[in-house]
Amino acid sequence: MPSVIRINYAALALLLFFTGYLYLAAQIPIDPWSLPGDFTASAFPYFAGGLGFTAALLQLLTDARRPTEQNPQPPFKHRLYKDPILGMIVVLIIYISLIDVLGFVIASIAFLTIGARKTGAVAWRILLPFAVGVPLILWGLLDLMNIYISPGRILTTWLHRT
Amino acid sequence: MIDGLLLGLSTALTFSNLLFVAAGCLIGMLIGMLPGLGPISAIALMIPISYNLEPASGMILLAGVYYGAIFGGSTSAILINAPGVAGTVATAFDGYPMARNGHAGKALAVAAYASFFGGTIAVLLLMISAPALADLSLAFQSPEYTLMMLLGLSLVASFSEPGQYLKAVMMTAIGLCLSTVGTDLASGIPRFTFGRMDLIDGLSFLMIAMATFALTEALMMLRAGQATQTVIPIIPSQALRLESREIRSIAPVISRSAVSGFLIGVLPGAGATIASFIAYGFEKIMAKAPIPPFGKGNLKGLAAPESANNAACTGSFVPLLTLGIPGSGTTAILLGALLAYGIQPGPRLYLDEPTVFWSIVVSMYIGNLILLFLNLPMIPIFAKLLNIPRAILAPLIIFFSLTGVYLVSFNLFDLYLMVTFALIAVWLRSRTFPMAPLLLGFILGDMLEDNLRRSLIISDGNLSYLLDRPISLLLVTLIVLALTAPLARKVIRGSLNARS
Repeated sequence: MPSVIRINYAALALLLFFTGYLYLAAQIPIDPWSLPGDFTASAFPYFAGGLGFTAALLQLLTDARRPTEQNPQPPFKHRLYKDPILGMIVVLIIYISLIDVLGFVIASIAFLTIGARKTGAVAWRILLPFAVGVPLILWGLLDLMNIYISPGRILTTWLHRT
Repeated sequence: MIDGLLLGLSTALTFSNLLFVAAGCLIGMLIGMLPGLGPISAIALMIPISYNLEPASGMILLAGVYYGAIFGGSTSAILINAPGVAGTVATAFDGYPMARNGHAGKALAVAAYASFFGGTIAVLLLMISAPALADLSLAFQSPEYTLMMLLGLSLVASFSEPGQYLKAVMMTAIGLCLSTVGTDLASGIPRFTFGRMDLIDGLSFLMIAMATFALTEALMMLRAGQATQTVIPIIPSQALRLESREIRSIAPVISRSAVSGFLIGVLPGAGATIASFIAYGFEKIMAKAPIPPFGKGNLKGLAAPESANNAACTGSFVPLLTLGIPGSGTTAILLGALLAYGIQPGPRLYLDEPTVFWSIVVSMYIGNLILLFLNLPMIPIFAKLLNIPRAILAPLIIFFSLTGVYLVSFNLFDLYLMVTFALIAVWLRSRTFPMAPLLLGFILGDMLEDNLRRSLIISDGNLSYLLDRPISLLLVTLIVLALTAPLARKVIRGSLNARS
């Protein structure tokens, strides 16, 4: 018998997800014309959620019963604030929220510059041509294809004023 | 078949389509060469561009990207021991030792020739088998389609890595769950929309594909850091030549690996990875005291997986084009692209859209030719791409992933959703959850629900209707076998271990 019960946090999280999904599936309104036993809008979600719930539960139980040496878990010591992915996610969210304000081109130039500087030390002479060039070339290509990209609220307001 | 072939040739050989094949192969190769970025990411990045093209041209471009990415993956496997895709892992076994021994050029040439001939044999097999299978599948109705989709999903799970079976099932279920977001087409009832208009039409498959593959790969690249940057060996162009003795020794290997690779590729879920490992294992068993040994730079050890993985890629088009069932994450994304064009793959594709069907087939062959004659001599130049600092590469891939989704919908909500999904995908991937079953579940979800509903309406809600027809019964048997295969594997392995 294993002396320590191991918890697979990913399986537990997915079990919670499928539970929530099944709860929401139960809230789907029933078509007023449907008869008992009909294939309603919630039938397939029950199947999908039930499948996932069963698999997550089995995974959780299997891992809990498995001896520690057979069930290596990735270390949980990872310091979240040091993870470069989280830093990039913050930069990404700022970038997306700035697309409307600064416009696609300027926001993209800012994102590529900050993103590359955040990822590693890149010399400005290498970084700038790529960070400025790529969005500008893309904008030019889109313009050629008659795809309109909004210049952003700030630039639009300024253009209206002048 | 001859008429179809001529039709395909007349479409694929137009100047613009030749340009699309060439561009697809080139872009696919460049993206596939980057470690971590496979054909799914490459195709996902190219889909927004293909939306503006004619269906045949768009599919020609994407098929070229697929081939190019597999070939590019082999290049990074050989040069820096970093397979771009799982299908090229076996290529690195002997390819990388060859490169380290100063034969990088020869290894790349063998990979290119093996891919070309493997692909060519597979295209011939596809031309013969696809129409026959399409004719047979005309007998398919809703119950058979329902079961065929369930078979595809169960095979994907059963072919997963040892110990990952339940994880693959969970990911498939998440994909199915995500496919239910939006308005139910039969009843008009919104599901899981939380009152948001942005979710009424459901989640975009491009957004899901980009979030779970391209964006996730780029984010994981950040964690790998600069330490993984490798110096690429210099390859003189004359080093790409092979001696006739070497060609004679690898020719039979390439032929048999192509046939086995194609047959394995046809099976949903099996794909290029299994095909390349089986071909490599078979040649290793067949060889008697090989010099150099397998794993130390043996030419046969390089030619077998390369031929098999290319043939398997072509093989994976058989269920996609004839049954409308994708057998892998890559063909799932191609199915998504076909559906976006308003084309329903399946037996009717061969009859209703012969131009699309045959031009894809012909373009595969042309793609192989282009990879051999245009891309191979340029490998020494392309290989320099591997020297691009990750600090530039990762933000660039992130930028193109976001831009691809933004330019299709112009909806910032999609971008926020994409970032959220990517963050979850990164976490799941770091806990060894596979992403391809999720994509497959997402794409098959709608069709599965639709066919299941239709079957149950016809049968008046009686599930036993699914077993009433001979083909259905065969498919149910296969599903049961696929679901029990991992358990049987475990039992057999356990009894073998006990005996030893």
